Amino acid sequence: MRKNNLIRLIQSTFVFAALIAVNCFSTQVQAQERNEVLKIYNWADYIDEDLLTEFPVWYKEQTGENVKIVFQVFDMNEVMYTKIAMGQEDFDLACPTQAVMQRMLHNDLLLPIDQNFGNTPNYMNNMSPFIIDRLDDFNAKGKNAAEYAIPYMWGVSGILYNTEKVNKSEMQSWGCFWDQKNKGKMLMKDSYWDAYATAAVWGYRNEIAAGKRSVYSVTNDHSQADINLVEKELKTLKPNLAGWEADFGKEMMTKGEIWFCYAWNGDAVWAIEEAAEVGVNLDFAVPSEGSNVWFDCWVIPKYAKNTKAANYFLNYICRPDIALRNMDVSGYCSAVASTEILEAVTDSTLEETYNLSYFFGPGNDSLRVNPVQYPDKSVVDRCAIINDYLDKNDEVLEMWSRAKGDNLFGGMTFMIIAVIVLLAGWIILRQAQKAKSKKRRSGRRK
Amino acid sequence: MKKSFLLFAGKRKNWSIPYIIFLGFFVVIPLLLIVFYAFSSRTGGFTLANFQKFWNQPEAMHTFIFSIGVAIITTVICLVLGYPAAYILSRMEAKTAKIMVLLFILPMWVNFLIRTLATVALFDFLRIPLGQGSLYFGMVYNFLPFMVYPIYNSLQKTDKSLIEAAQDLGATPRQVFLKTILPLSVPGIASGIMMVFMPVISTFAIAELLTINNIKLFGTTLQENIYNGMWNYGAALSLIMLILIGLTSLLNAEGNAKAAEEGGLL
Repeated sequence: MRKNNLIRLIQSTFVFAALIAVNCFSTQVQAQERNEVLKIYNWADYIDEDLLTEFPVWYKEQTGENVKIVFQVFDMNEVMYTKIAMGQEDFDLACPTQAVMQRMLHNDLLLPIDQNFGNTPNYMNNMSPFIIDRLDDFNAKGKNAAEYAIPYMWGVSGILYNTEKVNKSEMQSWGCFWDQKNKGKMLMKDSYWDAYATAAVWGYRNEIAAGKRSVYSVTNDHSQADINLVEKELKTLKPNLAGWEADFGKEMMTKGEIWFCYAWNGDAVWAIEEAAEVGVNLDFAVPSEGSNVWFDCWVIPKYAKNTKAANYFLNYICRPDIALRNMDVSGYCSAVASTEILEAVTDSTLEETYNLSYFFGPGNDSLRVNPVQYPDKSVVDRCAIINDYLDKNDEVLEMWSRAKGDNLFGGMTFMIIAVIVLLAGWIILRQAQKAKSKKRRSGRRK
Repeated sequence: MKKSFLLFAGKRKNWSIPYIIFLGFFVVIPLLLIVFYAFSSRTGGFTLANFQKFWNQPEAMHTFIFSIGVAIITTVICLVLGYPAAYILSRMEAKTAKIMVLLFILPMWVNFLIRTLATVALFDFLRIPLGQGSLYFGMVYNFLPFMVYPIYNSLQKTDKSLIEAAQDLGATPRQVFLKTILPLSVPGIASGIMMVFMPVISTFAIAELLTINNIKLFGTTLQENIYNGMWNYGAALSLIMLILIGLTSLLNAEGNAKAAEEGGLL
């Protein structure tokens, strides 16, 4: 018996040892190959995936080294952040939105980007000053955000609406979301960044109009009073909503089930195009009270293992022709503002002109471009960028949870209590009956 | 050496070792991690703050109670629909019953996410608005087979001679059902209730898809916390849910024991 136990112990030690050995072996193999792997973590449908096979060829030409791309996608900033910050996954590149980039920089999760490419031209200098200047908002702990992030796509938030169901004039204000008569015919983004900014701008619309507060301040101050107001506004908004949307808004709009929804302009470009094919007219508006402008940027997380290939990849996607291909796939505007891009997006058949001097530089104040993709200066001027909540993050999340959750109603609690009481009563009754029958039995036995 | 190996491999008990290792890695250790996270703060020290937060924040509590309510309603609807179905099935000719059971089980061959997405499409097509009603429909639709099958099984196994005996002794059909068939199927009902009630509490995908994120169940609250990096609070919430589920299965164990005892009595 004892021997048997001993053998079992040895046996299981062997199994464990084998497991560990396999593990070590595989990590060793990984370590050997790791500098030939580039792990990219990006949003879904946000890059021309052919580039993932073309980049290794280009990289080999430029550096003579091999690289294989491992590509993964996420659909929420938070998922990406948690994976890197808490899971410490060794992604070489990730693509957070500006506020999350700020949080990563703040929490020392980023590595600086090396712009030294030897003989390869540096394409990173083509960025629009409009985006580059905004990076300075996110400097943290004496670190320059511009050294840690390469802007990728940018856009504004607004309302995508069905022109047959609602008036264009009504859609020029966030008020349409809070209007009872549109109840059940709208969708809000299931994202606390967007919901917070929208509710804050709407809640403080009078103060903003009177010049007492700016759109930037209401979006980014996160004072307790602001958080409370946002909560109040979101709680009034909730009963009006058909739901909180993640990525099915476009489809429901095209089917005519809902009349309008909160949308990012790049999604709107696609939705308008796709709906037109089935004869539905959609349009996009950025409300007059103000909204938010955002950009996503590439960063090299702290746990990256192949920073060289990561740097080269960033350089590669800043090349204007590559940037254009990514714009075609995603519908968004690249942060690259070279003349090639300007030529490609100009459509001389359009009648109206728009002022894009803020983006393409002075002199470009009457361009014939798609105003949904490239909003006019007047639109961008009333938009503020969203910063991270930093130390207020937990409070904002709790507020968001309160505003979104809570479907409990009195009847439900009553029903649960009733069920528990019934169940308890039934059990007691059974016990009593059992005791009785036992007594009877023992009585009989006597 | 060879002999001792044969001795080792010959013992049937030893064959369970791989499974025990598997259990340890993927059940026991994760459970211990949940407990560890639930009782520690973000910096790692011991704390009860996560549970205090649950107690002090009515919305997480409300969502929890709401989820229990949804689970109870779903279970009751499943029972009301499932018992007669199982009863009728058990009364059918073996061949027909087999086909019918197959039809009941058939939807289960498709992943529940696909089924739920199809339900959304169906509701869209029929122009039925998504909301609380569609939530219950989705829940019942997904979990009904879990109720029907155990009840059908226990009814199937019922000794027909007991029913005949009741009839011989002059019981009316109603009495036969209430005094013989129903008590004998209690184990089936109990495990059916378990199979429906427990998973419904933690389901979130069905609620998210069928109500466009309008109705939040406890599973979504858990998921939100984990996604947002609040692992400690999330773990505490998971632990609370696990404890509730554990309690329910205790209740069931008692029910089963009772049923077995009664079986013994007869």
